[in-house]
Formats: sequence, C-alpha cells, structure tokens
Amino acid sequence: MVQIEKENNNIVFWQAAVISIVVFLLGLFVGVMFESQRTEATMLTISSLTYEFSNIKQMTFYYQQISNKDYCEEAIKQNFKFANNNLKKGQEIERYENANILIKTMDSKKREYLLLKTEFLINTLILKEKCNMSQNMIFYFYSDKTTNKNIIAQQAVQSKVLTDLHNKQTDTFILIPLAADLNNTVVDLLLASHNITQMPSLLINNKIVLSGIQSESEIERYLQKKNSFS
Amino acid sequence: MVEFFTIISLTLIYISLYFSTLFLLNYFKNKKRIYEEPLLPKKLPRVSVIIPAFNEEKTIAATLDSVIALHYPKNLLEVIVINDGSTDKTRAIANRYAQQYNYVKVLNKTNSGKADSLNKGISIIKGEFFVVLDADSYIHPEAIYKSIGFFSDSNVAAVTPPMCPRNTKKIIEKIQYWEYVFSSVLKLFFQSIKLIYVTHGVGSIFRTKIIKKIGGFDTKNLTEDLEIALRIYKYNYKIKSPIFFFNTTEVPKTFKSLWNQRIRWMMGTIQSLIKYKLDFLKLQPNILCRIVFPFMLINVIILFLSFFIISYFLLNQIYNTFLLLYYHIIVGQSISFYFDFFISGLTALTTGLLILFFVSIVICFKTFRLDFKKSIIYFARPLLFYILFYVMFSAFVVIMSSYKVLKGDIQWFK
Repeated sequence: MVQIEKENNNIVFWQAAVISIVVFLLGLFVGVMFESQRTEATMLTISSLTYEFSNIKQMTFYYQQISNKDYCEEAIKQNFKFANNNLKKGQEIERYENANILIKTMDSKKREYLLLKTEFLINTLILKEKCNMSQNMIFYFYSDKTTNKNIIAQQAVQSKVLTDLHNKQTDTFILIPLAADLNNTVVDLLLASHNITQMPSLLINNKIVLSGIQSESEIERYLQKKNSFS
Repeated sequence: MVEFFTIISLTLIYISLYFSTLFLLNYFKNKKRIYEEPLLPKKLPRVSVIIPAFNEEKTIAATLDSVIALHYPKNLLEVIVINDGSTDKTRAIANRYAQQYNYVKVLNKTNSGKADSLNKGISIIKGEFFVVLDADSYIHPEAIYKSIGFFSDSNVAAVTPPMCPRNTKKIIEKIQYWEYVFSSVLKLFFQSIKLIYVTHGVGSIFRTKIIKKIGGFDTKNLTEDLEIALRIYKYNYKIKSPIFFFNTTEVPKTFKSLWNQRIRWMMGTIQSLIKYKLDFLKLQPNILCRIVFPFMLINVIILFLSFFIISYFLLNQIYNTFLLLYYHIIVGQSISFYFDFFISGLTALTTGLLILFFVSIVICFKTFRLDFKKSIIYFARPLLFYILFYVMFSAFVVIMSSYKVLKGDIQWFK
C-alpha cells in the first residue's frame, strides 16, 4: 500500500498564511506605488502651474511698474494661455484623484491648487477691469465633497458640457472651475456676494448666475449677450 | 481615509488569495503523489452497491448497466436498489435487472427520503464496503478496483471519486462541467489537509463498519452526503479521493432546477453548520472543528458578503449610469462615457487573483490530462459564464438558503 498522505500536513495552512500575507503586501505595495506616483505627478503639476502663474504675475508687475510699454495685450495673451493649460491640468488632477483608492491624501494639494486658481481668478478680474479684456469669463462652482449622487451626476455632465463648449470656442472665454466647499475665502466671498447656494452653478462675467445644470445652448446664449453686461 | 467598501474588498481579496495559495502549495506538494495508485488488498473484499431511487425511470436502467459493467468479481458484489416509494416504472425496471442478475436485489419501501433509504440499505448489506450510487449517476467500470486500495489504511472511512456531468450539450451543463472539474481538482489536492467536505452520491465508497459506528446517514439533513463527511471528520477518520477515473451524473438542465439543487445544497450546508456549531465553539479536538468547520463557515461568510458587495457595486453602477444618461438627455448633450484605467492597490491585487485563477485552470487541465485545445474551443464560453456569474449566483443561493433555513422552510427541492 502506498502511503499517499504524509501525516501532519497542517503546517501547510501556516505556510499559505505567510506566503499569502507576503503576496498581499506586495500587491498593496505595487498599488500604493502607482497611487503615490499619481499623487507625486499631481504635486508636480501644481508646482509647475504655480511657477507658470508666478511668471505671469511678475511679468505684469514688471510692465506695470518698470517698463512704460503697454502691458495689456501681452498680459491678456499670457493669462489666456495659462487658463487653457490650467483647465487641461485640472482635469488630469481630477482623473488622478478619482483613480486613487488607497491614498487619499490629496485634500491639502487640492486646497493649494484652488488657492492658485483663485489667485488666477483675481488676476483675470483685474485684467477685465483694467485692460478691457474682451473674452468672457465663466466661473464654474461645484461641490468637491458631496456624496449626493444626483449632484455628482449633474456636475459630471456640466463639466462635460463646459469642456465641449470650451473646446469649440477656446478663444472666446476663460473657464475656471472652483470647488465651493474647500474653505477658500475668495470663493466663499464670491458665493456669498452672488447668493449662490446650489451646486453646480455658473457665474458668467461675475454678473450672471446660472444655478443647476445648464445646457450648451443656454450657456452660449448668455455668452453671446456679453455686451449687454460686460 | 480608506473607505469601508475598500476595506471589505481588501479582506475578501486576502481570503481568496489565502485559499489560492493553499491550493497551489498543496498542488506542488502532491502533484506527483496523487498519481500513485494504491495497491489492491491480497484478498478482495465484498462490496455492496446501494442505489436509492425515487421516480428515476428515465435513468435507473443506465445506472444499473454501469453497475453490471463494473470490473469487479461478481461473487463479491451485491447491488441493492432501494425503491423509495416510486410511483413510476422505477420498480419494474429494477425488478427486471434483479431477475436477470442474481446479485441485484430490490427493496421496496414507502417514501422516506434518501438518507433513510441508505440507512435501510446499510442495515441489510453484507459488504465490508458499500458504494452509494444515485439512480441518475453512472459508475466507472474501474471505480471499485481503483479505489479499494485506499481502505488499507484502517482510518479511511470513505473514498469519494472525481465526477463530471454525463451530458454536456447545453451551456448550463457545460458550465457545471467546469464546476465539477474544479471541485474534483480541489478534492484531490485538499485531501492531504482533510478538506474534502462532501462524499457525494456519485459512487463514493464507504467502510460499512465505520458508518454504522458513527450512526449512519442523518435523515433530517437535506445534504446527507455533506453531513456524513463532517461526521467522519468529527470522529477523526479520513476521506480520500482518487484521480484515475471520472464517475458521471445527470446534472440540472434548466436554470430553475439548478437553482433548486443549489438551494438544497446550501440549506444542507447551513443545517450542518448549525448542527456542529457547539462542537466548533467548544473547540473539540477533531478535524471537523479544527479544519473543516472553519473552512465551510468562511466559505459561507465570503459568499454572504459577496452578495452585498456585488449588489452594492452593481446597483451603484446602474444608478450612476441612469443619472448620467438622464442629465445628458436633460441638457441635450451627446451621450458618451469614457473609462479610465489606472492601477490601484485593488486592481493590482485583483489582477494577481485573476492570474492565480488562470493558473488553477491550467492545473485542472494538467492534472486530469484534458485536451487543452479541444476543451478551450468547446468550453470557452461556458468557462467565461462560470467566471463572470458563478460567484454572484452562489451568493444569491446563500442569501435565499439562509432565509429559508431561518423561516424553517426546509424541504427537498428537485
């Protein structure tokens, strides 16, 4: 009779436990590594945008204070270029954030990024005021922390509508998406001064408030009326 | 902060990973040993074949034909058909065989269920060992010859062979083909760690003395074949599984009959868990409490949790998709969805598990020396169905069975 089974095989349960823990941790490590890379990429993106924007600010300051040359044309051009780049990078940051499951440490980075965007928003408002910038401005307010699926879906569709419209009319308006619930003073001031409580909402040229989800044609209609309120 | 859903998913992934590793370790430790054929005893023992039958006129003749074709000395063979109050031609067909073959007998009784029929059979058989063969199952001609050697170890109480569906024409039968092949492989490699927890009625062989000693089959349990395996382990006896042949059986041909069968199996499992819960909680020093019970319990819990996780995930996806579609339509935006694939901790681990699953499929082919090319062409689609829907199907079965057990709605489904 062949002894098919060796007695005391129960050690295999412990061996399996050790190996599976090692493999599990290895898998987690690989996943965390990928997620860390994305967090790192986000930080680099924000740093690069901050650098880019500081450049614009310095250039404006130089033209305003040192050079006598009319700075408006160049400032508007650089501001516009930054706006488009900022929008593209912002979408990338959002995709990275949604993909991260284990590392959710992006909150502080998002605040930092929002601060940069509000600084840019102020710069855009100044240019509009001082240089008579012809392009429209759309400030898109959304909730970053909401768990309401209805609002999340509305925001997803609204973002798509705005992105599609922006792709069609890149040169005619500046789009600045702003998270409304990250405790940013400028954003809070804007919300309060325009009595915006519903998300998503659009603020066109710092005057017209459109609350709730808006269609492309509706937004286009308000953009075409720019002369009446700019 | 990692979400609750992520923590549950990681826990389930770890448990799956643990069992996959356990399987692979046992595979590498035993892959050669499982082919070592046990030697036949010098004197062949007397073996009885018990065939409990209730309204099996369509299949019993073929079942008896398979028994007649057994390569085992007929003077050492005793075949007893227990006609469990059939109202069709089962009795007449069995009688015909009894008239033709002197070692075939028919015992008629009023209907009392399979377990009771088996106990009646055990009480009258003369065999040192007995085979339990359902009246819709077919024994391989070499089955007894290739199995009897395992009983040279006096602690072996049962030998339960690999089995597969008799017919694989319909897709539902092909899906079950994969399930049966996988479970046969698991049995082969888990036998050394005593993790065979069912001695099915498709030609399992039992040592009569031990089964009588431990009290025969449980007439109250819906799955007497599972319960008897647990009791064998409770008394620290062993169960073995040979590799050398496949017995075959009729499997459900419709989704409804498959659903009913699985509900019955799962209800029997839950009944057994309830029956042995005190032994487990008192940490009795036996194989049942140390190995089999925790394994079964974890299995049921995983399926239970899987139901909620998969349901939550699916419903969430459906609801989100509905909302997105709705708002796309509201604003007259062209509908388009894009899918971003990023590797996260979860996807890395899930990919690893999928690789392990495919390794297990390769092991199945290698172990049973199946024709890889032919099987993939013939069975690829059912395999895909099996991978995609089996967990969800089993999870639903667990939920429904738990509900029925709690309600006390315990009956034989067919």
